[in-house]
Amino acid sequence: MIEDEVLKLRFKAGRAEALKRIYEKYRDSLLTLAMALLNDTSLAEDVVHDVFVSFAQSGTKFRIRGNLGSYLSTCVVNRARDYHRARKRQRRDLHGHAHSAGAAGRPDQRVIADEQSRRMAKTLGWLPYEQREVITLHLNAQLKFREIAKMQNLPLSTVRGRYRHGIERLRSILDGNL
Amino acid sequence: MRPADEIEKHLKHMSFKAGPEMDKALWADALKAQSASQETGQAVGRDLVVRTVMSYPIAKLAVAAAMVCVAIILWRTLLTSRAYALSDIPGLLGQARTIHIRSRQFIDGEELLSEYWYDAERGRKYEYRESLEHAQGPNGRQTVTTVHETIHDGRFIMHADHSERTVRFERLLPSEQALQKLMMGEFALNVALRDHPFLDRYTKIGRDRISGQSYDIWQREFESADADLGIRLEVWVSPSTGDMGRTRRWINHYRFGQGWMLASETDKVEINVLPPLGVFATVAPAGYTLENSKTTADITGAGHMAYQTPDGCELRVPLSLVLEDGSVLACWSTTCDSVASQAHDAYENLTFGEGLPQTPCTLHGLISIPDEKSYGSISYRDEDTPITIVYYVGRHVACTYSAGKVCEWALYVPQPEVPAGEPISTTVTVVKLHRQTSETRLIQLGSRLISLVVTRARFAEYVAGAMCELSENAAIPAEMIYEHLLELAKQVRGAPELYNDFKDELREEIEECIGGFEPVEVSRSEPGTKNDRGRGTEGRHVPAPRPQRDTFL
Repeated sequence: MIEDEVLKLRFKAGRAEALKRIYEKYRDSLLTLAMALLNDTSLAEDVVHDVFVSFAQSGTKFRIRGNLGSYLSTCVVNRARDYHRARKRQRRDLHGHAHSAGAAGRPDQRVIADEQSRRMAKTLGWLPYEQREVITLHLNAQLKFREIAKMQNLPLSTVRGRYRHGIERLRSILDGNL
Repeated sequence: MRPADEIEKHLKHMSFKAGPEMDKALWADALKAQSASQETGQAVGRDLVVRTVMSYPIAKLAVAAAMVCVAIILWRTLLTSRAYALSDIPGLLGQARTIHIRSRQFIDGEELLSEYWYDAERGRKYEYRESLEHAQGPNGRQTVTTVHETIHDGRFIMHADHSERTVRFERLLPSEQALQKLMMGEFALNVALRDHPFLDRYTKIGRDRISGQSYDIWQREFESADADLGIRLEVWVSPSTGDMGRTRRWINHYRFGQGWMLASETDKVEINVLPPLGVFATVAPAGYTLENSKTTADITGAGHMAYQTPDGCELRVPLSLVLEDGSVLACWSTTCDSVASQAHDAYENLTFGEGLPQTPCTLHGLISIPDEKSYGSISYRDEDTPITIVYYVGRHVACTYSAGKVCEWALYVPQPEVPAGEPISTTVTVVKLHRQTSETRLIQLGSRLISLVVTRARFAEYVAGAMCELSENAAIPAEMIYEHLLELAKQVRGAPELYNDFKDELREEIEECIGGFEPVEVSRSEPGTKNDRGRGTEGRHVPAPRPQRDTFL
């Protein structure tokens, strides 16, 4: 926590090593969050890319009072939501066949994950996006329900309900396969 | 574990890591974005910092407090670093360790040089003066230039007359040595800026440069009481350093119609510069006639010459010490017709605390005028302020004998007490003549008496030092005990009739010299002219102090 406060100050002062440290500290967790939300390596990479580039661009204008990890997670969730909506419009395949045309190299070489993680991300993809978002924010970004409710401007009960229904649905999907 | 818990656990442990290729591309873009934002956003960033800081209420308060602090600091800085003005000069000279002054006078087409060195730390002084004197020669009255040097080395004073090639020495008692040290700044001030009591009457008239340094020019112009003589004084003061770059004195004799003429110029007033080697040495030049030697030298001091009558009677006060209640213990002696007072019988049967001896010329008492501002022989006071005079009644303490001379030690007690606040106390002598002379008044005001304020310990030390010179066996009279003197002072203050008698005796002189005096300005000769040779301010008979509004004696 203290380290994050120092990093924020140094980053605001334009120190590249601060950005490097933030990038290294949060890169994989943000990528995991994006993968859990989108189950698309290329899109997840784009989301993380966009978030870090925007964050780096904010430079001296950057200003947050809260937790740096929560801030970046929120950025990823917002950006993933945008990608999700865009993808719906383009009726793209959500089952892992698509990847960004501009991305070089094979996706499995660009993002490293174990089979269980890939399977879980694929399973999450069966959930409605709203439930997926709540589950991911709670379990992967480690946000409390109250924080998620505030972030999504929803009643706390709605957030809890989406989480509960999502987990039950996953249980029914994965019943006996875990 | 329930399936739901199992699912949550697997979701929690879900992990994706960026591969080297993605990592490289991601980091490169992020770094590029940061660099670009710094280049374009620095100016904006500064504004944003201000806006960001000011968005916090506590920050607003902090910034307001900081601005107030900065304003106060700036105000104080500006106040303390204000430009030096003419009024700062007395303070700067008073704090100086050494002072060097060089000036010239222009009289009757002649240029006369004066040079002074003052060493305030060791109480040493050097004075060189050229002056014009009129003498009766074979071809009638003629003007000659004379040269005098006066050197104080701390213990001895050497007067050298280079025209006559003669040398005369004086000695200083330990207390007078200490007094001289304290007075060096004032001596220098009286030479460098004789008009210093009237600095508030100067105005800044312009700027000038001397040797690359910028100076403000301060000027004062006034006329003598009869409007016959105009006097213009100019002083160059550096606003950045407080240095005096130059002073000029102009005079205008209106009736001659010659306009303003430069009467004198001081072109050097240096502070804290190293004096030339040996400048304070009291060694007689080879081939000069010695009027006395250091061992036979008269004992002198500040204000020692209290009175001189035209018929050769002198009153000398070689020592005066101020006690804690303001009482002045003065040692004085009388010499008439170049012979030490013959009236030894005047001292016989005198006891401690009695009236003073009836010598031909007596230091009868002292007065002080607290509201009067006096510097050397120049004095003034606000004419709207009522005159307050403090009277000091004199009582006999003891007498000592040395080399045929009798020294009277007397205590002069002020009513009321005058607790000493300064290291130096200035009073005016009241002289009483016990022999009738032409038309002079028997009670007169004499010269200023400058006395050293002492502690009990210093008192004993200085009295013991003085006795080595003023008493044949160096014995200290039994009466000369600090506590005894304070007790005597207390008794004297408890006798109002003594003060009433003293005031009655002095009333006529006071009314003539102080009470009915109309403020005038009169000119007097420059230091070093024929009317001002030898001893300077401290050793000259100064006519009765005339507390005038704007005296230029």
